[in-house]
Amino acid sequence: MNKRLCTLWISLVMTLCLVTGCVMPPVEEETSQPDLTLIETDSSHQADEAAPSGQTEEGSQAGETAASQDEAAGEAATSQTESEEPASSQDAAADGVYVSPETYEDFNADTIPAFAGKTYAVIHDNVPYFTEEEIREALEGPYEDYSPLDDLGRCGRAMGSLGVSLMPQGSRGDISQIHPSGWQRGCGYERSHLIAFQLAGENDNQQNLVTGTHFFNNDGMRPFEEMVGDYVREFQTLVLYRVTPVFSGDELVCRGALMEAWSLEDEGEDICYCIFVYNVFDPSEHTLIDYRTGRTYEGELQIAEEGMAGGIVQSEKEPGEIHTYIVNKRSLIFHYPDCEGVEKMSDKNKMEFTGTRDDALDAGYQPCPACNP
Amino acid sequence: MKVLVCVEERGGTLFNGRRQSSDRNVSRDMLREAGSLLPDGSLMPAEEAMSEGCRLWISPFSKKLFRGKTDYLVMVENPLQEALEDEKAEKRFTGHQTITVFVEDLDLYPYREAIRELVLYRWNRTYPFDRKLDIDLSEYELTETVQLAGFSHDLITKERYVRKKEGAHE
Repeated sequence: MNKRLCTLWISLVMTLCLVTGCVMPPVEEETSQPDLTLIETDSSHQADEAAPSGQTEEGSQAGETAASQDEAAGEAATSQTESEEPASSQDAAADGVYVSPETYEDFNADTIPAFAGKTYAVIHDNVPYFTEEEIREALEGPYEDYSPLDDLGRCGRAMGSLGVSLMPQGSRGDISQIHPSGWQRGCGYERSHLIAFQLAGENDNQQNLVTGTHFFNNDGMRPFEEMVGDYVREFQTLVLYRVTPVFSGDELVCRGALMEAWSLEDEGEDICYCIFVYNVFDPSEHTLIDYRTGRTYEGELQIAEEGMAGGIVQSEKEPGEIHTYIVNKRSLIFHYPDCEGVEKMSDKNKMEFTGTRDDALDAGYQPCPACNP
Repeated sequence: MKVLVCVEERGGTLFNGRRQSSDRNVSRDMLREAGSLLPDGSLMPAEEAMSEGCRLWISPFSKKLFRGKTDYLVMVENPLQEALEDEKAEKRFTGHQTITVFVEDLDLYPYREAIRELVLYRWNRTYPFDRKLDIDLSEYELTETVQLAGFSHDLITKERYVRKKEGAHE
């Protein structure tokens, strides 16, 4: 009897299911991934799409690799996947999404992507802005070319067709006599070669040296330089290479550098990148740069979401805030009033100054290294 | 299956769909791993390499690194999958066959249980990367470390890992 009731009940349920279209959801297969696994593929970086602006698509012989992955360690890729791609670049810009400039000439301090905590951001889908003419010239043989310093003593773009014949035989010499624009002693800067010494052997060429942080010079630029250097040494062939420091207005320290590289013999199959490296201190150092002067001060670097526009935004320690400082009339060093240096100062040398930090700097006063006003 | 992979300092393998680096001495060592390079530095006859199963399995992506050595290669779209199937078939008929696969552009994770031996060539350099080694090395035991002199690199560290037996994983 019970058995009959049970059978009847099952039949009733099944009939109901059929009538209402109710089906059991499929059981999803559980997949566990190890920590190191990188999963998502992003077809926006398909190598066979790459060709510098001057190249035709047919001319591109890029690799056939599968798409690149997102990376747990967090290397940046600023381009959008197809599904996320905004309707137009104007819409994207309106939403604050970063859109790379179409031309090299349009790449400037206003068109760099927001700093997302990583040393670099991918620009122009990782395809350099080289023109057909630049590529043609580069194919003629190795060369290097450096822009003259501008009126403010700042470097411009450094460019070359890099080959083994340009590479140095010996090790790098002393460059401490060079003071690139914005150089400040004791601020933790490195004299940063635009075209690395290992690539072109330029030791102390002041047209090739900018003021940069370790985060910019070593963590940011160096991995890209190593990749080009090892490739040139291995295949004894040429790479078209350009590094452009990007300054905002009259600032003396660059906001970063656009780095472009393209292996000529195989039309970018092995070497092809276009990236912007940020000239900032490692965010963990809580040190900001006054790009106008090169002086540094305490503060927080704003870290944006990847792929957004906005450049480098610093949460400054209120540089525009008005303070009353104590200036030593003899040394012309200014202090916070509670600085130990003020206590030791004789009264006749004390002078009050009220204004912003910039006002004090503009008046010719130097900040006290102890209280760092 | 024995798998050979090149990695930079942080485990990166590719950037922008391209290999980070290469070195002819590493390519040569890979043929040694496959068994086609003899101890005296010469290559065995191509027919022998084929009959003895001493060829290196690669995908077309890696072809450029072995110019002039095509007789010592098995080039297929997905060498991991095909090697896996081939090994299964070989085991049925001949008892044992280890295939050596060089991987640059493929995920290892789906094949991790079939990878009995993993050889890492560490460039000892920091390169940019957007793709990483996708295998958990704690599932393997490091059995050998050798320094190789490179052609375009000073020293390349070669590490050999053997998969731990089931239940022995940390």
